[in-house]
Amino acid sequence: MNDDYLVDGTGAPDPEVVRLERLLGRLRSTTQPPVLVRLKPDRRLYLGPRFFAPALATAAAVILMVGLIWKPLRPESVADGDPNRSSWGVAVIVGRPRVDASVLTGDGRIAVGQTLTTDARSRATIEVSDIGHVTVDEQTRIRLIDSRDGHHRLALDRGTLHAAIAAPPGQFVVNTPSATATDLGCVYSLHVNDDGSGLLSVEAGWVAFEERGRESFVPAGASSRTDRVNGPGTPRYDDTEPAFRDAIDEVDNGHDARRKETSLRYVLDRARQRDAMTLWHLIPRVSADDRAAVVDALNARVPMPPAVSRDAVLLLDRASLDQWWDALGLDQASWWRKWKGAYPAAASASQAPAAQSCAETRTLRATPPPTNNAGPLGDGPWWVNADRTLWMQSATGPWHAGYNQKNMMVKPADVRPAMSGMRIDRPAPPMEVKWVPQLHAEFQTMGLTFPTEGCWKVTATVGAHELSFVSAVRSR
Amino acid sequence: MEHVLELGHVLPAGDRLTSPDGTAGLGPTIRAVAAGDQEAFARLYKDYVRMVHAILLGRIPRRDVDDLVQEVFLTAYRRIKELRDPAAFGGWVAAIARNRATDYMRHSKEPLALPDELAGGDPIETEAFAILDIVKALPEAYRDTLLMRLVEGMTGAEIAERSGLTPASVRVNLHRGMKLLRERLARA
Repeated sequence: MNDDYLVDGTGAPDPEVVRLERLLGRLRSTTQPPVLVRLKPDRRLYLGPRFFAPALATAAAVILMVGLIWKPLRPESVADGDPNRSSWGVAVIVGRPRVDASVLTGDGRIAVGQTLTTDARSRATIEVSDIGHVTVDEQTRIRLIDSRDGHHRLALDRGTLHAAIAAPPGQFVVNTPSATATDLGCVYSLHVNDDGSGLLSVEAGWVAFEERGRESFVPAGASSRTDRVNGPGTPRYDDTEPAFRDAIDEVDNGHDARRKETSLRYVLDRARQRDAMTLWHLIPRVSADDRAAVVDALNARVPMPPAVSRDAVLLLDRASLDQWWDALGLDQASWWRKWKGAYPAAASASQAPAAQSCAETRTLRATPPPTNNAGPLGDGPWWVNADRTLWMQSATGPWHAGYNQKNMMVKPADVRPAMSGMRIDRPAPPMEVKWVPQLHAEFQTMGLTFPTEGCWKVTATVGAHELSFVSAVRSR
Repeated sequence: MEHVLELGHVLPAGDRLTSPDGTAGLGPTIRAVAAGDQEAFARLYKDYVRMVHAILLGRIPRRDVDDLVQEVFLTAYRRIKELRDPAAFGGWVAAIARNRATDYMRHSKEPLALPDELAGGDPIETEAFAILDIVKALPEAYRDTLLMRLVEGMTGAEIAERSGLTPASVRVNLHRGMKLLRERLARA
């Protein structure tokens, strides 16, 4: 056999070459030319180290600074002509960040549904509508999920961002794989590792860090870790000694009961008066057996208000805990209750009742677009995302705990979905996903296993598209 | 020409008077790109993207290949005025791709065996990645040429035209590369 087929595809086909063409052809280039957005070589925007000097770490000064350096910019329609898609201004600080496939070398914009990616040598700053800005560090990927009046949401998939927001509480939200950071009018940094774990550090104001009903309210000068299993960790001030921080991590995430107990004792013994904030967060997170000790430790630093009963606190009575919080001298609990009614949830399944009802996302009776690998798929009901690029339904009716149930998805071709499911009414292990390998297909099936009944939030991400919905999972 | 020497013999630039589509020299296209003509840039991209993709695919984790393809062409766009001989564009952009891949690997903190480099359970995809790993271990000239042929579907003539190699060098690279690949596949 000569090489004609190998060289130019003529002559008798070489079976081995044909096989390799078929297999390796799946890896063929599908990229589009980069869009050269307002190419301005060597333009640089300098905002200073990070973006604020430490001396400015007070909320008032920060708001003033934001007002001085940031150009108010209302959401504008994007260049694709869709007037309904809001977008934010993006300025390159250094390097060549990308918005989707478009490489930025100067100013650009990111629209809802688009992704901003920086490599090891690029950084950028984003103007968050008219409420502040976000600096995006190297090796970071963020997506703009939503931008409407009073509702602005990013997803930080990996990397680091620094946010400076001057807006009423709750208007700016950042999703991460393991927690959601809700701005309460502040300056903060958020880092997400490749495994979805992360760290929130607040410089001014407050940030609420929440996932699956577990919340941490993190004040200026404090940090909170998070991971996929346990969600937001107990916040602690950054000026605590390393051993104290390690002990809190052990209390939050440790698996060895004896070590957890030792660590808790260490925290209770070594907590300073200002660490009352940490102790207050621990009350609903520790087991009922340990709760009294935590209450006593907090009481030793900040006495329980006269109107508060110890028994009520041990039962996690919200009003009682709120009153004690107010006595910490940090701020009044009532102001953040205005935007968020939920109370920091207990840390284990034994400590809090399950939600009596689940606010399920409404499904839609509609027919998805034709796919490249399936026939007509019917009119559902489907869960559908806003731009109707992702459709999903259970193939076996209502979900039940403990089963690997078949589900169907309509998605863009040649993109591998990322999917997660978290119980939101009380802590539980995450949902398991078993993909049927259909990378190139637009009709995709997968098996989902919910370890427990309850109210579950399921999120599927395919490229820049995200479908997120809430559904009840029933007992077997 | 120095940009393509590492791949083997190249045609003198003056001998290559036609563009890849054979209708005209590359000069007008290159000059148009240098003047900021984005349509001309898109044509250039279309003609050379498969070669650049193959070069990167043979060197870096697949998950980052598309990103670096974009970067390579952006670099070429920004530096196009440095290209003195339009006919040498193929070798020049190939050199940018190789340099960018080298730079990527130098700065990468992650090992080559990344999770998203693994197939997701699809047996065909798994086999494709396994073969890709074997091809990646071949000598550079064989690796690039084979990937252009087997992944990108380019003919020997196209490979020669885009890369600046002589058709004879392409034939030799394909022949020897395929022979080596068969041997290694048999051992795998």
